[in-house]
Amino acid sequence: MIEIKGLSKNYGSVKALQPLNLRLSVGKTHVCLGSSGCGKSTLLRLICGLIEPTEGEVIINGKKVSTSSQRKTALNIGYVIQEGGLFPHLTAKENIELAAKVNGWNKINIKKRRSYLMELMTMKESLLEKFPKQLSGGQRQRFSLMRALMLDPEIILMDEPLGALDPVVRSHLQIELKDIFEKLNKTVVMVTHDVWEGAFLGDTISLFDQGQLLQHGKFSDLMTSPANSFVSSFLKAQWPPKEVMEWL
Amino acid sequence: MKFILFFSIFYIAPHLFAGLSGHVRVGSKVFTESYVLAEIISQVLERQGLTVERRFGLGATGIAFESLKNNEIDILPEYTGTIAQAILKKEISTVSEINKELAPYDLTISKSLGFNNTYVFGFLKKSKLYGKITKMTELKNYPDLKYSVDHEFSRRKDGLKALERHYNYEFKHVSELDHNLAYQVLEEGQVDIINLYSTDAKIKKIGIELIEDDLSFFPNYDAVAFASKKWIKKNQLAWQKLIEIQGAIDEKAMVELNAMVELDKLSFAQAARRFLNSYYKENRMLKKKKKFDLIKLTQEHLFLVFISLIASICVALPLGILGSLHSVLGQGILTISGLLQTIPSLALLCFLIPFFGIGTPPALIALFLYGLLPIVRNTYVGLTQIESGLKESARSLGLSRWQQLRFVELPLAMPSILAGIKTSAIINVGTATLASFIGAGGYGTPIVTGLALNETSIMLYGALPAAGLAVILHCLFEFIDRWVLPKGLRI
Repeated sequence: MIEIKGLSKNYGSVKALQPLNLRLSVGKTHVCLGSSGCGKSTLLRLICGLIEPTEGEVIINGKKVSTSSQRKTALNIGYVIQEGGLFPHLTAKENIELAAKVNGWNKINIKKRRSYLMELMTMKESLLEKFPKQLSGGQRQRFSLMRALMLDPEIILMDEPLGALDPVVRSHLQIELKDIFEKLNKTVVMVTHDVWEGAFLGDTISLFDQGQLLQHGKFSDLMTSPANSFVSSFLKAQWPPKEVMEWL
Repeated sequence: MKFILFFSIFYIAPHLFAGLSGHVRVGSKVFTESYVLAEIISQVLERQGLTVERRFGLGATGIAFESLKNNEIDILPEYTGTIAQAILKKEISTVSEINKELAPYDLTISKSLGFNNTYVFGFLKKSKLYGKITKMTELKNYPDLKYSVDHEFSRRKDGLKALERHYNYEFKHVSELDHNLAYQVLEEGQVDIINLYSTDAKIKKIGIELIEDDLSFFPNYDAVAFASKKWIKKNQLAWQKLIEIQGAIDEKAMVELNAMVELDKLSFAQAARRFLNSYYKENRMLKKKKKFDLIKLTQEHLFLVFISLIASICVALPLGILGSLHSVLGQGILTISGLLQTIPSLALLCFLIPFFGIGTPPALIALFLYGLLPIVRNTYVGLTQIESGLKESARSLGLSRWQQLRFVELPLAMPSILAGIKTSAIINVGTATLASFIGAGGYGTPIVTGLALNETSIMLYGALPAAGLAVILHCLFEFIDRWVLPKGLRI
């Protein structure tokens, strides 16, 4: 359970995130929706303790998150930044094993966990020795997610995980992700600006605009009873043009 | 462009030093050899751009010593025997022993200038003694011989009385005569044997047979430069240049010099100039012939470059890392290492002389200081310019600050750090050539010599290998890059 109480973040005079209250339940996929610069990424950083909130707090399993205890928090949270953030100087294998290694896992456990994840992601072993630059965008995203999952955290945070992928790969991965999330039963907080990706993957949707939460609920709730005109226009903005709809 | 800069530095350098150097008061005692040696010393120093005040003709040993001790003069030609016996009154003879005893007076002597001007007894070759007397011990067989000794020898502790004790024989007919007069009375037959110095001009001219000091009474009278340490401290480079003539004046050369003045009627200055001209010319020929020992120069140069580079890396890398962790500290570190870089290299070398003397240590320190900035800056930039997303990823994986540095940030900054080290090394190859101005050796040695002699070919002998070394280092670092850089960053 992630509890967010009166959480806000200002960068100087810029209000990146306005006071926010949210409860994100365990085992569900929560999608934060909004255009870029709406405060979604800030929210993810606050949840995993990378930055200190201006006001309010994040409570995970009854414990308050803070930057001073960020290392501890990190063990329970897998964070996939935009474009994956794989370290270019390490091979895919070194990337996914790094956290386990520095946390003192033995080789057998590391290998076991890695094989499990490789299977889960349906990845070929031969890719392990490749460097990030030698991988395709989709492969990179899968390895990023594997890296985040390595320590088997309860919570997965994903910042536009599919943002940079071409449409075909993207739709494949969306299906794959949904499948994986269901299998793993993790609490996932995912940021995207793609309405339909959010609708497809999210058990709940939180729609943000300019650092403010406009509406939180199931996608169907947002569609049927939008909190305001911005919500409905945002949701409709990504529909195909009228002509295409008619043709469809 | 770099070439022109490189050479203009070397053309400016001697003038810089000339500007730094000052004033020197050279003394001499009242005999030809002392005058000539004092002239040689003066002219060597003048060639280094010093203003020389000649305070020649300082009576006897005591007066000269007092003048030096009381800071009335700075340098004086003297003899080890005279200093040991007449001044220190000690039974010592080596340079190091004498220097130890001189320390309380804040005075020092150089090594031997090349000849031993000891007292010696002699008679005319054409006299009846020729063939009969060869050794001092044989003198007792001729009790009626008339002797002449100079005033100083007759009175000093290690003079006539000591000689008599040593040989257990009393000279009966001894007159005290001034040195110059003694030759005259010898030639006129008024005395049979005189005491003289082994480098006297007249030995050859009037044909004097020297009597062997078979019981080794006379101590070594090696000619040395006797100087005040206070002056040396302020004029390290000039002193260094001066003592380069150590060993260059042998007995034969000194007899000739004395003869030039006393017999050929040249002035002291003319004789000294004649000697120095041929000395430097010979030296030049010698150096040309010897062509410098390139292997030794290379070793010295590599030593300077690599030891200072390693020291720079050891200090600059942590400083750069520290700077990247703390922005205020970082700016401070960058500013200070930047300031160091603005000190002209020759000036820095000069600043270091009072603290570390001359030679390799100050050169290493200067090169070390110059090596800092490129490495500090590149380490700092390399670390601070890592994509924030990657840094966040490292944190979000639960890595400690040290682990983030060790596994993520340093490897990612490695190309920049290596580039800094490379810059530092190549700059050091060039700067190290300046180190020979303070006697640290290396490729600068032929360059400095070439400058002094105005011989481009000799300068190139140092400049070309230095340029070559820079190129080799560049290639070497390309290789190291491949080896050290994470493979993932090279594809």
